[in-house]
Amino acid sequence: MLVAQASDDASAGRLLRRSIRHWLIDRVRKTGEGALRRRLEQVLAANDTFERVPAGEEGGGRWRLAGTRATPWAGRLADLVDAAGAVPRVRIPQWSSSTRRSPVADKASIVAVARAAFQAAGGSLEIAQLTAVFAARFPVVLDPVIVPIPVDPDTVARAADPTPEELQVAADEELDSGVAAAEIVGMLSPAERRLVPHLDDQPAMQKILGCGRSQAFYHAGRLKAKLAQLLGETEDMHAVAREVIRLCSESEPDG
Amino acid sequence: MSDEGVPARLFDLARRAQAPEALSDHGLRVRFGDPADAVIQVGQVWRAHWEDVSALLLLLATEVRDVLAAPVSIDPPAEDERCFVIDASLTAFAIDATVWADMAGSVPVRVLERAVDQWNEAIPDWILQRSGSGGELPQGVRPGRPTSDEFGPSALVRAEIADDLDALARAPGLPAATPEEPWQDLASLLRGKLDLAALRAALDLPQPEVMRILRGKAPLTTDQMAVVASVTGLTTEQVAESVRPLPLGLVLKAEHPRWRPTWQQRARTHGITEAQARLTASYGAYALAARETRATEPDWDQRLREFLRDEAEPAGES
Repeated sequence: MLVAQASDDASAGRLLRRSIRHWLIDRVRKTGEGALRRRLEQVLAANDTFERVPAGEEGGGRWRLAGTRATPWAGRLADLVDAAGAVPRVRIPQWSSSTRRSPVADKASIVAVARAAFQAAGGSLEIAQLTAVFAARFPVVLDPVIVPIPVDPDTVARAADPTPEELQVAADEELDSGVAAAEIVGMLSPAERRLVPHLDDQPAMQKILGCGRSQAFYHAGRLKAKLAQLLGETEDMHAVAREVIRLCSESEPDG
Repeated sequence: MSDEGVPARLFDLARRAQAPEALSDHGLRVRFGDPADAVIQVGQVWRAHWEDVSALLLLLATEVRDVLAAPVSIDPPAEDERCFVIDASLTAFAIDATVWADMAGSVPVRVLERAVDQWNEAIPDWILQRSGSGGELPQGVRPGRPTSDEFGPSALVRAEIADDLDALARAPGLPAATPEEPWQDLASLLRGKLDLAALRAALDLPQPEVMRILRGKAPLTTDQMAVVASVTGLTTEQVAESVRPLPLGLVLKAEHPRWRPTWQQRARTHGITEAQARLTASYGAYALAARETRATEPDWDQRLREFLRDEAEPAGES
């Protein structure tokens, strides 16, 4: 690529940096896909909803809904991703490890999403195909950088005047939102935290990322998808989202 | 090679990596001749380059000051359902190449630097005429595989290419005369209000040079435009527009990739940018031609060469 496309040090350096970035992303995604695949196999094997197609049958070694005679699926992956995305109330469990990836979802949610994918397929699936569906449905699990913050009440609780009794319930809800938001902020990388307050301000994103508008648009879309996944579909998701933005704004260097 | 963001050992590795002979300088000269004799043709893949941005472009059609081109990528491997992938056996890259056909658009000729490959014309023909309507693909070309991840690596490559194309389109061009746009030099704009002494002092230039600026025959730097604006009360935009635009024939010659090695060398010699090197030399050639009486369009390549020769060997020196 360098020989064909670069003509001087500046362009060669830029291309090399870009190559290295893509290589690192690729490595991280492959590692993440391996972990996801193992987790899915664990859940499928431990749940009566699914079964492995016996050797000797068509599609032997694949997975299918138990009790069906489904033959190997061969269709558009996007259809399965759509079906997986339509499953409501998917829950991401609380998580605070600094060394492990974010969990994909709780076990019940994995089962529900896998069942939806198998039903949409109407056939048996390779574990690699199911992994691809989950990777598209839960992009966070393949993210390279996840940095939790400590659970520190001082960073979570809002500064508040003495609370009247009639506002006690609201205050409790606010605290819950704050805790949930802090957990989500902990799953964002430092760079992502800087971007959150500016998600709808493309020039600001370009400035922070040092890139053009298409890359800023790409990163904004990706971060929004990640936040949507982490926020889930709880009743207080809007309050949590506002708190996430506030926390990220406060953690800005000049914020 | 040096770059603060890339360790030197990676540059060394890149240098040692084996590349196809066809892409070496020698290989390119064998296939496309001397860069100073470059010819732009449909079906060629060009390296486009401006400042630190570079891209590979498949030429689909030529326009006056632009080419219609589709971006090509070879590394990292990336594709989606809007791409076409060209088999390695059909290119000089020795690996599959992805053509981002839906991103095809006008790219200024001035950013083209060197032809690096020539593809069968059936490929650009097909992209231009039939890529949107299906039909049988040329041999060795396959449609890109759809991606299921909206924010996957291929989407990032697509975004990077889009930004590179935006940056290349912003590369400054020469001011070209158009018949429909009236033009007024600085002297006309300042009629009755000209303070020549103040202008000379502010610009710190000899009077003949100031007169050339007043008549719009000399390009102005951004700083000089600001100085003239502050002294005369005109806006910077008015001052910028007072420079006489160059004849289109000269612009087409000076912006052709044939001249890029010369502008790049001149930029290094004088410590200026490539754009400045091209701009000042073009006005120099224009000034030379203005001294002639003729009925036909000057040979602009010849005038550019004369200006550069005079610059290298000023009159009186031998």
